[in-house]
Amino acid sequence: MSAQQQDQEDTNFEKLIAEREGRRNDVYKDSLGKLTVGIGHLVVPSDHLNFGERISDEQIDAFFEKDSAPAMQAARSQASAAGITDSAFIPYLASVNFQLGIGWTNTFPHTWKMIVDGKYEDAAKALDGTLWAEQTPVRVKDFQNALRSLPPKQ
Amino acid sequence: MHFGVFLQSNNRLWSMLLALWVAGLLPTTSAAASSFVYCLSQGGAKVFAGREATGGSLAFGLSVWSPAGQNISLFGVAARRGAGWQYTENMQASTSAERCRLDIMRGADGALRVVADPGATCQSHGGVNAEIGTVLFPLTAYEGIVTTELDDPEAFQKAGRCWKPPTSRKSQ
Repeated sequence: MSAQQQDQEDTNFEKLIAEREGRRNDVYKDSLGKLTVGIGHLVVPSDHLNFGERISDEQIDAFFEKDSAPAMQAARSQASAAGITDSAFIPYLASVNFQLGIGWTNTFPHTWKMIVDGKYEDAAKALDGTLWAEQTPVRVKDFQNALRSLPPKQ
Repeated sequence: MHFGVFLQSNNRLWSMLLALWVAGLLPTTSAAASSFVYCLSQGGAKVFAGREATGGSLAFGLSVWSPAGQNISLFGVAARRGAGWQYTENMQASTSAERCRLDIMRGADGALRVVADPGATCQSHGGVNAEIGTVLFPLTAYEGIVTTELDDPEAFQKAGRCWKPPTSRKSQ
Protein backbone atom coordinates (compact mmCIF):
# COMPACT_ATOMS: atom_id res chain seq x y z
CA MET A 1 0.00 0.00 0.00
CA SER A 2 1.30 3.42 -0.90
CA ALA A 3 1.91 6.17 1.63
CA GLN A 4 -0.53 8.32 -0.31
CA GLN A 5 -3.24 5.70 0.04
CA GLN A 6 -2.58 5.44 3.78
CA ASP A 7 -2.78 9.23 4.14
CA GLN A 8 -6.12 9.19 2.35
CA GLU A 9 -7.43 6.48 4.68
CA ASP A 10 -6.26 8.49 7.70
CA THR A 11 -7.92 11.64 6.38
CA ASN A 12 -11.19 9.87 5.65
CA PHE A 13 -11.17 8.25 9.07
CA GLU A 14 -10.68 11.56 10.85
CA LYS A 15 -13.45 13.11 8.77
CA LEU A 16 -15.81 10.24 9.59
CA ILE A 17 -15.23 10.40 13.33
CA ALA A 18 -15.48 14.21 13.32
CA GLU A 19 -18.86 13.92 11.61
CA ARG A 20 -20.09 11.51 14.25
CA GLU A 21 -18.47 12.97 17.38
CA GLY A 22 -18.05 16.62 16.43
CA ARG A 23 -14.90 18.73 16.30
CA ARG A 24 -14.27 21.66 18.60
CA ASN A 25 -11.31 23.99 19.00
CA ASP A 26 -12.32 25.09 22.50
CA VAL A 27 -11.88 23.03 25.64
CA TYR A 28 -15.36 22.12 26.91
CA LYS A 29 -16.94 19.76 29.41
CA ASP A 30 -18.58 16.65 28.01
CA SER A 31 -21.86 15.28 29.36
CA LEU A 32 -19.97 13.64 32.21
CA GLY A 33 -18.22 16.88 33.08
CA LYS A 34 -14.84 15.83 31.71
CA LEU A 35 -12.68 18.37 29.91
CA THR A 36 -12.68 17.56 26.23
CA VAL A 37 -11.33 19.16 23.06
CA GLY A 38 -10.95 18.43 19.38
CA ILE A 39 -12.51 15.18 18.24
CA GLY A 40 -13.54 13.70 21.58
CA HIS A 41 -10.05 14.04 23.05
CA LEU A 42 -10.19 13.81 26.84
CA VAL A 43 -7.86 16.41 28.28
CA VAL A 44 -5.12 14.99 30.51
CA PRO A 45 -2.86 17.00 32.85
CA SER A 46 0.09 16.74 30.45
CA ASP A 47 -1.97 18.59 27.81
CA HIS A 48 -1.77 21.73 30.01
CA LEU A 49 -5.18 22.90 28.82
CA ASN A 50 -7.90 24.68 30.76
CA PHE A 51 -11.63 25.03 30.30
CA GLY A 52 -12.46 27.50 27.51
CA GLU A 53 -8.96 27.52 26.06
CA ARG A 54 -8.67 27.21 22.27
CA ILE A 55 -6.32 25.00 20.31
CA SER A 56 -5.32 25.05 16.65
CA ASP A 57 -6.61 22.74 13.93
CA GLU A 58 -3.15 21.21 13.76
CA GLN A 59 -3.30 20.40 17.48
CA ILE A 60 -6.70 18.77 16.99
CA ASP A 61 -5.25 16.64 14.20
CA ALA A 62 -2.31 15.69 16.40
CA PHE A 63 -4.53 14.66 19.30
CA PHE A 64 -6.70 12.61 16.99
CA GLU A 65 -3.78 10.92 15.33
CA LYS A 66 -2.48 9.81 18.71
CA ASP A 67 -5.87 8.78 20.11
CA SER A 68 -6.89 6.87 17.02
CA ALA A 69 -3.61 5.19 16.07
CA PRO A 70 -4.44 1.83 17.74
CA ALA A 71 -7.85 1.75 16.03
CA MET A 72 -6.37 2.46 12.61
CA GLN A 73 -3.59 -0.07 13.12
CA ALA A 74 -6.10 -2.72 14.22
CA ALA A 75 -8.34 -1.96 11.24
CA ARG A 76 -5.51 -2.51 8.77
CA SER A 77 -4.52 -5.73 10.52
CA GLN A 78 -8.13 -7.00 10.59
CA ALA A 79 -8.72 -6.10 6.94
CA SER A 80 -5.61 -8.03 6.02
CA ALA A 81 -6.73 -11.04 8.06
CA ALA A 82 -10.11 -10.93 6.35
CA GLY A 83 -8.60 -10.61 2.90
CA ILE A 84 -10.11 -7.18 2.33
CA THR A 85 -8.06 -4.86 0.14
CA ASP A 86 -10.65 -2.15 -0.53
CA SER A 87 -9.06 1.01 0.85
CA ALA A 88 -12.44 2.75 1.20
CA PHE A 89 -13.46 0.18 3.83
CA ILE A 90 -10.57 0.89 6.20
CA PRO A 91 -11.93 4.12 7.76
CA TYR A 92 -15.21 2.40 8.60
CA LEU A 93 -13.46 -0.59 10.13
CA ALA A 94 -11.24 1.82 12.07
CA SER A 95 -14.36 3.58 13.31
CA VAL A 96 -15.63 0.29 14.73
CA ASN A 97 -12.32 -0.21 16.53
CA PHE A 98 -12.42 3.38 17.78
CA GLN A 99 -15.92 2.93 19.16
CA LEU A 100 -15.91 -0.65 20.48
CA GLY A 101 -12.22 -1.28 21.04
CA ILE A 102 -9.68 -3.27 19.09
CA GLY A 103 -11.05 -6.50 20.58
CA TRP A 104 -14.46 -6.02 18.96
CA THR A 105 -13.97 -9.21 16.93
CA ASN A 106 -14.16 -11.12 20.23
CA THR A 107 -17.37 -9.33 21.13
CA PHE A 108 -18.95 -10.11 17.75
CA PRO A 109 -17.29 -13.43 16.84
CA HIS A 110 -20.06 -14.62 14.52
CA THR A 111 -20.23 -11.36 12.60
CA TRP A 112 -16.45 -11.30 12.33
CA LYS A 113 -16.41 -14.85 10.95
CA MET A 114 -18.97 -13.83 8.33
CA ILE A 115 -16.69 -10.97 7.29
CA VAL A 116 -13.70 -13.27 7.09
CA ASP A 117 -15.79 -15.69 5.03
CA GLY A 118 -16.79 -12.91 2.66
CA LYS A 119 -20.46 -13.06 3.68
CA TYR A 120 -20.76 -9.30 3.86
CA GLU A 121 -24.52 -9.05 3.52
CA ASP A 122 -25.02 -11.62 6.28
CA ALA A 123 -22.58 -9.72 8.48
CA ALA A 124 -24.43 -6.46 7.88
CA LYS A 125 -27.76 -8.09 8.74
CA ALA A 126 -26.32 -9.68 11.89
CA LEU A 127 -25.81 -6.23 13.36
CA ASP A 128 -29.51 -5.43 13.25
CA GLY A 129 -31.10 -5.80 16.67
CA THR A 130 -27.87 -5.47 18.60
CA LEU A 131 -27.45 -3.10 21.49
CA TRP A 132 -24.82 -1.40 19.34
CA ALA A 133 -27.40 -0.64 16.66
CA GLU A 134 -29.88 0.54 19.24
CA GLN A 135 -27.38 2.84 20.92
CA THR A 136 -25.69 4.29 17.85
CA PRO A 137 -27.82 3.51 14.79
CA VAL A 138 -26.03 5.90 12.47
CA ARG A 139 -22.61 4.43 13.17
CA VAL A 140 -23.87 0.91 12.66
CA LYS A 141 -25.53 1.99 9.43
CA ASP A 142 -22.17 3.43 8.34
CA PHE A 143 -20.55 0.05 8.87
CA GLN A 144 -23.38 -1.90 7.30
CA ASN A 145 -23.22 0.28 4.18
CA ALA A 146 -19.46 -0.15 4.04
CA LEU A 147 -19.84 -3.93 4.27
CA ARG A 148 -22.45 -3.93 1.53
CA SER A 149 -20.17 -1.86 -0.69
CA LEU A 150 -17.35 -4.38 -0.56
CA PRO A 151 -16.68 -6.29 -3.76
CA PRO A 152 -17.35 -10.05 -3.54
CA LYS A 153 -14.50 -12.00 -2.03
CA GLN A 154 -12.56 -13.93 -4.65
CA MET B 1 -58.56 -12.18 48.76
CA HIS B 2 -55.99 -14.05 46.69
CA PHE B 3 -52.39 -13.62 47.86
CA GLY B 4 -51.39 -12.16 44.46
CA VAL B 5 -54.11 -9.54 44.64
CA PHE B 6 -53.11 -8.80 48.22
CA LEU B 7 -49.51 -8.27 47.11
CA GLN B 8 -50.50 -6.01 44.26
CA SER B 9 -52.52 -3.89 46.64
CA ASN B 10 -49.58 -3.64 49.00
CA ASN B 11 -46.76 -2.06 47.00
CA ARG B 12 -44.38 -1.85 49.92
CA LEU B 13 -44.61 -5.55 50.74
CA TRP B 14 -44.35 -6.40 47.04
CA SER B 15 -41.17 -4.34 46.67
CA MET B 16 -39.64 -5.98 49.71
CA LEU B 17 -40.40 -9.48 48.47
CA LEU B 18 -39.10 -8.65 45.00
CA ALA B 19 -35.88 -7.29 46.46
CA LEU B 20 -35.39 -10.42 48.55
CA TRP B 21 -36.09 -12.64 45.57
CA VAL B 22 -33.76 -10.72 43.26
CA ALA B 23 -31.08 -10.84 45.92
CA GLY B 24 -31.50 -14.61 46.06
CA LEU B 25 -32.64 -14.58 49.65
CA LEU B 26 -35.98 -16.27 49.02
CA PRO B 27 -36.20 -19.97 48.19
CA THR B 28 -36.99 -20.78 44.57
CA THR B 29 -37.74 -23.94 42.65
CA SER B 30 -35.58 -23.23 39.61
CA ALA B 31 -31.82 -23.22 39.17
CA ALA B 32 -32.33 -20.39 36.71
CA ALA B 33 -33.29 -18.16 39.61
CA SER B 34 -29.58 -17.82 40.41
CA SER B 35 -29.22 -15.77 37.27
CA PHE B 36 -30.08 -12.15 36.70
CA VAL B 37 -30.15 -9.44 34.07
CA TYR B 38 -30.01 -5.75 34.89
CA CYS B 39 -30.41 -2.88 32.44
CA LEU B 40 -30.00 0.86 32.74
CA SER B 41 -30.43 3.47 30.07
CA GLN B 42 -29.22 6.59 31.83
CA GLY B 43 -26.56 8.43 29.82
CA GLY B 44 -25.90 5.42 27.61
CA ALA B 45 -27.13 1.89 28.18
CA LYS B 46 -25.60 -0.35 30.78
CA VAL B 47 -26.35 -4.06 30.79
CA PHE B 48 -25.26 -6.83 33.12
CA ALA B 49 -26.16 -10.50 32.85
CA GLY B 50 -24.90 -13.01 35.41
CA ARG B 51 -25.44 -16.69 36.16
CA GLU B 52 -24.04 -18.36 39.24
CA ALA B 53 -22.62 -21.86 38.92
CA THR B 54 -23.00 -24.45 41.64
CA GLY B 55 -19.37 -23.89 42.61
CA GLY B 56 -20.11 -20.25 43.29
CA SER B 57 -18.43 -18.69 40.26
CA LEU B 58 -20.37 -16.23 38.13
CA ALA B 59 -20.52 -16.30 34.34
CA PHE B 60 -21.27 -12.75 33.29
CA GLY B 61 -21.50 -10.22 30.51
CA LEU B 62 -21.20 -6.49 30.98
CA SER B 63 -21.71 -3.76 28.44
CA VAL B 64 -21.34 -0.07 29.27
CA TRP B 65 -22.13 2.67 26.73
CA SER B 66 -20.95 6.21 27.27
CA PRO B 67 -23.20 9.17 26.49
CA ALA B 68 -20.97 9.79 23.44
CA GLY B 69 -21.65 6.28 22.15
CA GLN B 70 -18.36 4.60 23.06
CA ASN B 71 -18.61 1.07 24.40
CA ILE B 72 -16.73 -1.24 26.72
CA SER B 73 -17.83 -4.86 26.98
CA LEU B 74 -16.62 -7.77 29.06
CA PHE B 75 -17.64 -11.40 28.96
CA GLY B 76 -16.12 -13.86 31.38
CA VAL B 77 -16.29 -15.81 34.62
CA ALA B 78 -15.79 -14.16 38.00
CA ALA B 79 -14.67 -16.07 41.07
CA ARG B 80 -16.62 -16.01 44.30
CA ARG B 81 -15.07 -13.54 46.71
CA GLY B 82 -16.76 -12.92 50.05
CA ALA B 83 -20.36 -11.98 49.51
CA GLY B 84 -19.74 -11.11 45.85
CA TRP B 85 -17.51 -12.02 42.95
CA GLN B 86 -14.27 -10.78 41.49
CA TYR B 87 -13.05 -10.96 37.91
CA THR B 88 -9.36 -10.49 37.15
CA GLU B 89 -7.48 -10.64 33.90
CA ASN B 90 -4.01 -9.79 32.70
CA MET B 91 -2.96 -8.41 36.08
CA GLN B 92 0.73 -8.56 35.13
CA ALA B 93 0.27 -6.11 32.25
CA SER B 94 2.20 -2.86 32.31
CA THR B 95 -0.72 -0.42 32.04
CA SER B 96 -3.86 0.01 34.12
CA ALA B 97 -5.94 -0.11 30.92
CA GLU B 98 -4.64 -3.59 30.10
CA ARG B 99 -5.06 -4.88 33.65
CA CYS B 100 -8.60 -5.77 34.58
CA ARG B 101 -10.24 -6.28 37.95
CA LEU B 102 -13.97 -6.05 38.57
CA ASP B 103 -15.80 -6.44 41.85
CA ILE B 104 -19.42 -7.51 41.52
CA MET B 105 -21.77 -7.32 44.48
CA ARG B 106 -25.46 -7.87 44.97
CA GLY B 107 -27.02 -6.19 47.96
CA ALA B 108 -29.86 -7.47 50.10
CA ASP B 109 -31.90 -4.64 48.59
CA GLY B 110 -31.64 -6.30 45.17
CA ALA B 111 -29.24 -3.73 43.76
CA LEU B 112 -26.15 -4.78 41.81
CA ARG B 113 -22.88 -2.90 42.04
CA VAL B 114 -20.04 -3.36 39.56
CA VAL B 115 -16.77 -1.59 40.29
CA ALA B 116 -13.63 -1.51 38.15
CA ASP B 117 -10.37 -1.15 40.05
CA PRO B 118 -8.80 2.27 39.28
CA GLY B 119 -5.49 0.44 38.92
CA ALA B 120 -6.93 -2.24 36.64
CA THR B 121 -9.62 -0.49 34.65
CA CYS B 122 -10.22 -3.08 31.89
CA GLN B 123 -10.24 -0.22 29.37
CA SER B 124 -8.41 -2.30 26.78
CA HIS B 125 -11.77 -4.05 26.33
CA GLY B 126 -13.39 -0.87 25.09
CA GLY B 127 -13.28 1.94 22.61
CA VAL B 128 -11.46 5.22 23.00
CA ASN B 129 -12.43 6.92 26.30
CA ALA B 130 -14.85 4.12 27.23
CA GLU B 131 -14.75 3.16 30.89
CA ILE B 132 -16.61 1.07 33.43
CA GLY B 133 -15.85 2.97 36.61
CA THR B 134 -18.62 2.21 39.07
CA VAL B 135 -21.99 1.07 37.82
CA LEU B 136 -24.87 0.81 40.25
CA PHE B 137 -27.93 -1.05 39.04
CA PRO B 138 -30.80 -0.37 41.43
CA LEU B 139 -33.53 -2.90 42.03
CA THR B 140 -35.65 -1.12 39.43
CA ALA B 141 -33.02 -2.04 36.80
CA TYR B 142 -33.64 -5.75 37.36
CA GLU B 143 -35.12 -7.23 34.19
CA GLY B 144 -35.37 -10.93 35.01
CA ILE B 145 -33.37 -14.12 34.72
CA VAL B 146 -30.86 -14.97 32.00
CA THR B 147 -32.28 -16.59 28.90
CA THR B 148 -29.88 -16.46 25.93
CA GLU B 149 -27.69 -13.57 27.08
CA LEU B 150 -24.79 -15.73 28.21
CA ASP B 151 -24.82 -18.21 25.34
CA ASP B 152 -21.83 -16.41 23.83
CA PRO B 153 -20.44 -12.85 23.66
CA GLU B 154 -22.47 -11.94 20.58
CA ALA B 155 -25.71 -13.27 22.04
CA PHE B 156 -25.09 -10.96 24.97
CA GLN B 157 -24.91 -8.03 22.56
CA LYS B 158 -28.41 -8.89 21.38
CA ALA B 159 -29.98 -8.45 24.78
CA GLY B 160 -32.85 -6.69 23.09
CA ARG B 161 -35.18 -6.72 26.03
CA CYS B 162 -32.86 -4.33 27.82
CA TRP B 163 -33.07 -1.63 25.26
CA LYS B 164 -34.90 1.56 26.07
CA PRO B 165 -35.38 3.99 23.17
CA PRO B 166 -32.51 6.48 23.01
CA THR B 167 -33.50 10.11 22.99
CA SER B 168 -30.39 12.03 22.04
CA ARG B 169 -28.05 9.98 19.90
CA LYS B 170 -29.75 9.90 16.54
CA SER B 171 -26.68 11.44 14.91
CA GLN B 172 -24.31 8.83 16.28
